[in-house]
Amino acid sequence: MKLRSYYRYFLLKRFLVYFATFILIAFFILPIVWVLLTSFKTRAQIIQMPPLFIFSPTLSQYRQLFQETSFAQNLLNSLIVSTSAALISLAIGTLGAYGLARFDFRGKPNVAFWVLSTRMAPPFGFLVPFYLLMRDLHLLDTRFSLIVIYQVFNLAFVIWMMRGFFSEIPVEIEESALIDGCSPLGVFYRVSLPLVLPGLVATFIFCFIMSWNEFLFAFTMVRQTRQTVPVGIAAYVGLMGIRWGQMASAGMIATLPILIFSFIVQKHLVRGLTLGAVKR
Amino acid sequence: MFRPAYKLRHQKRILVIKEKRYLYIFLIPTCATLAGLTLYPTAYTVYVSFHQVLLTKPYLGTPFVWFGNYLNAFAGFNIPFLESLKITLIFTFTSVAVSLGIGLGIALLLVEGNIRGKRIIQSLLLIPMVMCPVVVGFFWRFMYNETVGIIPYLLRAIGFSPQTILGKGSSALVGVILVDIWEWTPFVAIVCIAGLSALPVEPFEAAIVDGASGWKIFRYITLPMLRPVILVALLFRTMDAFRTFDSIYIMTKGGPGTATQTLTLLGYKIGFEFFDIGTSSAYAILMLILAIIFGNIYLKLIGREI
Repeated sequence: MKLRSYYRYFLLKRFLVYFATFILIAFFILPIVWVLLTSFKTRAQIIQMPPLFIFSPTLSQYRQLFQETSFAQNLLNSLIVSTSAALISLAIGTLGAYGLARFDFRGKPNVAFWVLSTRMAPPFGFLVPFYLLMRDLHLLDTRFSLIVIYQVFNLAFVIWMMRGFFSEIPVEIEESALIDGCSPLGVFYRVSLPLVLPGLVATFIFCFIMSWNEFLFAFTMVRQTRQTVPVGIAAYVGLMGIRWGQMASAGMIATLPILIFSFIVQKHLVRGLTLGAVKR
Repeated sequence: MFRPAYKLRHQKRILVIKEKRYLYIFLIPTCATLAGLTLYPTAYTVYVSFHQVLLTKPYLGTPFVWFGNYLNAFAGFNIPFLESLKITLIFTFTSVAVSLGIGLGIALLLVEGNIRGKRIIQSLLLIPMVMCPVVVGFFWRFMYNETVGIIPYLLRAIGFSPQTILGKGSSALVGVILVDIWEWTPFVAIVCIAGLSALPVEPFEAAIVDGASGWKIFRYITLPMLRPVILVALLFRTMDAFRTFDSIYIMTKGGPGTATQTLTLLGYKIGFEFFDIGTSSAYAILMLILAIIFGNIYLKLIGREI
């Protein structure tokens, strides 16, 4: 008899655990599922109250999105800007990260704090200086201006992440290369970099995601022709109200590459987001 | 004679290379770029914050006003800064606290509860936090909408009948906070999962052998051992919640009146809708100081050896 009540107690706890998990996960996923469904409805179906769950899906919103707006252009701009910004900050930052990881010098904590502070500054504070700078350089409304500005955000990430990856390589490997007559730069290029390749990929993806999602600076610097995806989506706030269908489809398309990339980089996600403070 | 150009130090994980120039080669590109891109704008912003710069009235020039812009934030009646500070604190505190609680709960459920499909759930959890905040803002604006949104419909089905969610002061703030919680709780959860998975098993085994109940184990073993991880999540979440702009801007642009006008939104509004660059820069510096205080707490509590 006692055994049966224990069994029931165990089952109840199991059920509660699964139920709680289900509810929580549903809370995070359902909004996206709902908008995904919305993106396959027609205009009339979207406005319908009570909300429609069963309908025949159509690609009309997506078609309209690409035909009536410059979303394809936005995608291209975002792609160019994000990739370039990520590659450049990777190149610059990895060098510095190696220096931080392998060399000892005065003022090291200051540099670290300085790097951290780029993540603490309020975004609008830097808008004016950069806007004026870009205006004077006639770089407004270019992708290049964004690529330059995104270095500010990306470099901090790159430095901290790559520093962590570099410090995981045993020093002995590099020392043996040095003994064999390799120059320090050669060691960096031939020994350390190949060993840290997964870290490079993960960091690249992080920077890509951050640059892709960035809104404020893109919104301020680029108004006419070179808009990135977030700016383009924000433009759907029309005078006649928002075109929900196109917003839904645009949002889905904008999210897709990010999702794929972040699944790839899952393992390093924690380390990246906490700037290396928490390692799995 | 053979003279080694380096010295091996086995105690530290650091190469000691005698030629200083290699240090410079590695560090100069990064430091130069960062310096140019951060020091210059910061210096410029500080400079502007001490002047009165009204782009709408260029004939006034840009007179030096000492700390006038800063005093603006605290003195005088009808001070938007203090109001926004209050809203920012409510927003930040609520969002961080709730997402910490839920995130920790999810982590405990997934790690301790031995759920099947933990990997898939973790992958799904990623989605809200990697999405573009603008897109998140729009999605939730869509769901909150009175005519086409699913949330008012559900609320009506339960019994409430809200006229509007994002259109009324109090509910707008709640709505915006909810979105921030939705977007960032996965971050806390994933960080806590990582921390929880890394805990050693032995203390738990010892506690179970000694006959401790689940709650006692949680309170006296799990929680203290998770402290550094929780602190990291807490501080990163706080710094980011403090600076949230994109989603709030898309959803309410500051809310009905000033209901959801956090400091970031206020600063943006003053600088780019009223074009009072001087005051906006002052607010930016004030926010930066506040954030630096947080950053110092972070470095001290985590005690990182650089």
